[in-house]
Amino acid sequence: MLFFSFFKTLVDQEVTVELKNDIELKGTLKSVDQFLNLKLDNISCSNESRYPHLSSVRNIFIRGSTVRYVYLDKNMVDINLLQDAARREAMSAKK
Amino acid sequence: MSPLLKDFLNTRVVVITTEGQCFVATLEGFDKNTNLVLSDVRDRVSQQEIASCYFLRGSQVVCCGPLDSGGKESVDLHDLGNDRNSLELRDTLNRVADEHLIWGKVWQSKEARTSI
Repeated sequence: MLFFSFFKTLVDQEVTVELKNDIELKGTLKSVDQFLNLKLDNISCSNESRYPHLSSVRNIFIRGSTVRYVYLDKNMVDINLLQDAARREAMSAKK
Repeated sequence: MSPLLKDFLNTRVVVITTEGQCFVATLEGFDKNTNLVLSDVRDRVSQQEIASCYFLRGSQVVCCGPLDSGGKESVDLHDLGNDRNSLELRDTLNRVADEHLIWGKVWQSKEARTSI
């Protein structure tokens, strides 16, 4: 559940999602659920000339299983906090 | 139940599948596995009707988003459709081209090693 919580802290931030079919979508992260399904608002496709299919779509639901990467800005992530949370999760998993 | 798709119910949505197909359809229903029930399913590019009702298994869904009400861009897409190859989507299966050849080589080298 760590990354679910992690993505919840990123809500309302601008992210770029690369899908496994090479489409890259940039938009504001609106919500996320336990499967890491994402909902983006105001999307723009970075390679729109190649993939114009989503050109008249602004708000999109992406199934978590088809995401390859989520690009985040460096200053969106507090690395110390994330490491701490990861350790705590590992500890609780051991018990 | 994932509430993420609730806002899209009964609207025209664009759906991309893992096979690289792209539809426009009306979202009639969904569940927590992202299984979708669609009606009036049309091809995104040619606008040709594919089915009047469609059940799409969740594992086949890539993304799903409502069309803007203007819908004028879809005309553009139709013009672009003359060059259909440029509009083909990749599947999401992360397949390696000629993977069987690679594994063939692996087995050959393995056999060569064991025969020494």
